[in-house]
Amino acid sequence: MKKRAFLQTCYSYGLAIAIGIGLLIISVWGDLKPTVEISWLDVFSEGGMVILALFWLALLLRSRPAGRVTQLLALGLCAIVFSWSMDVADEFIRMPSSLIWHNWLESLPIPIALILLSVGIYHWHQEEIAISAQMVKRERYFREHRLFDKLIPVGGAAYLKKQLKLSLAESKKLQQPLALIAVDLDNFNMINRLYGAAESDHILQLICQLLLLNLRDEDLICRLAGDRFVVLLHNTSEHDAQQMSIDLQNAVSSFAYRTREHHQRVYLSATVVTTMARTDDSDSLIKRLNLEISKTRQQLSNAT
Amino acid sequence: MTPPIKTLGYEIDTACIAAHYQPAVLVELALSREVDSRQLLRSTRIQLEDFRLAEKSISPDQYLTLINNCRKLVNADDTSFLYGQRLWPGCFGAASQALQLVSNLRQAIDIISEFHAILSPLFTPRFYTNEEELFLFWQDATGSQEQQQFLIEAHMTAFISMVSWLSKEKMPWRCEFTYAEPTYIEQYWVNMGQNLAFEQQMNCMRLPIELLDKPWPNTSQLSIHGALKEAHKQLLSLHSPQSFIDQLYDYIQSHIRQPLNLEKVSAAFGISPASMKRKLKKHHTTFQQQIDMARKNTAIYLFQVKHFNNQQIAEYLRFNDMNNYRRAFKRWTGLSPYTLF
Repeated sequence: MKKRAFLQTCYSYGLAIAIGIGLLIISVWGDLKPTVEISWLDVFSEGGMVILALFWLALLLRSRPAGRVTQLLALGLCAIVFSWSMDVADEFIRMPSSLIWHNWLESLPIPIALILLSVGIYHWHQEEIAISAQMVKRERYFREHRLFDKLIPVGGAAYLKKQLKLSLAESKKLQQPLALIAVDLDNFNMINRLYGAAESDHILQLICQLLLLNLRDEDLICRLAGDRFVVLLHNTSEHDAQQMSIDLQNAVSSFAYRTREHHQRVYLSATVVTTMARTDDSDSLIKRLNLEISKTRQQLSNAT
Repeated sequence: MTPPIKTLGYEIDTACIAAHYQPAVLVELALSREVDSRQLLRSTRIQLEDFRLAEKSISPDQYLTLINNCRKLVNADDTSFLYGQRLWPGCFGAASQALQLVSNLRQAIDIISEFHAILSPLFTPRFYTNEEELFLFWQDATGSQEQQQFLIEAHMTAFISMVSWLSKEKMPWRCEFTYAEPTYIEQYWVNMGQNLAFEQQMNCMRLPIELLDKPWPNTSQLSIHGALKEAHKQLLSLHSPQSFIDQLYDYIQSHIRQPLNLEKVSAAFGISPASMKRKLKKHHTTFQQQIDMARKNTAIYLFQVKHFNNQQIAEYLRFNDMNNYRRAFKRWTGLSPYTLF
């Protein structure tokens, strides 16, 4: 975080100094226009452009970690802000037409800015590809950050429903089987109360990572609600899905979690349920899966 | 003549909720979701310092503003459910201690009902049984308006979660809600089970009666008495063990078979009709709405719990003929009693 703050001030100081020097140069060689000659429409539109570009710069610097891509994009935007603000200054100050280079102050930064931005965007594109490779198993087809879970970096129930609709259509078209696995942690209420909310949030995050490790690249995991996860398995037969669900169950139960504070060992287990998409739609499929969990739970508690 | 009701209950602007009780639980949850504390406490007139000092009491109104801020800032479907999970038994003094020591469901419900001003100041549980089932209705105590659904989710989750924690078993609750099925229904499934019904007449939890007195593990029958004694002292130190709206509802309910009007009820409360009207307006309701709600709830209670038929309900509520009853019922619920029952 510190590094980001440093960078941010660095850019804004640099930009302020550059604009200051630019204005100084213009005011030394030029002379002030009388008020009647000022075209306020131009002032507003050009001033608005400067403010917008500053807004982009602020968003960029606030949200992105420091690095080459951020540097290139920020420098490009700085150059644009500089050039546009010289444009605004032009509205107030008349320059003698004999001076050719004052135009450079306005025009030269633009091509530089565009080159910087282009290189920046190219590297951004490369970066996105690298990040998408890490997001595999967590998203398919489309990205929608608003549907992402607040606690755990996977999609929530709304994302799952949208994905399921697409997958159902796809599997019908390609005549491929589509399987769903629900993983529900046992006695999570107890863990919550024994170890506290912060600890159980952490467990959920780790469990999600653990499940991710046990999935193939084509699979998609979402957090339905609370301690219940749903895995979407494309082109997977019932037998394979069953095997995967057992693997997931084993992964959870052999996970040796120790609490962060007192290093107590927490024993985790999960109830898993597999279902195949048949004729139902996404809503009824998810509902059936959840009913299945309740039923399995009931059977297990009756058996003991 | 002195009025039958001596101390008026707490109102929406009475400072009656300890800030370090339920509000602190919510604030802690919001802060763990990286919400900015200044934004969270905006226009609540509460400081973060107040939670540390543990002396300030806030009004239901301030608490509702806090809930509203929290909902908007955390902006996740599970906030009410997470809040509910952390609510009970809680750390709300001796009443919480007593709750921790209960030996069956009946005792848990009794404690929540008796000490609801401490444990659940915004929503009041009302408990009924018949031969087959127990019913726990949840009723708004101060006029929570837009926060109502949040509070119902939180309170029902809190109760279910507490019961499963103390009894060490999952109970087959059936939950009914007055509102339509929300888009985030999965949260209900995970937190309350799948036996749900929406767009019903009351917000209600039901359970087979045999689970009411089934003994729970790990209880110390004797130490609970000390906790209860302390909890009674705690209750006496409060402004009132009931909200004004609850008092009014109870009064109307117990005189439901008599003709009631604003003047008569105001006299019973020892206030003028004008100030009764003012108080009701503060809670976003009117006298007629309260009468209608009490009569509707009585009709639903008589049908659901007592298994009365329409003829008997109409007679109980002193309707002269069935047409009047049907019309009144339609006004209360939007449905004909024959389609509903």
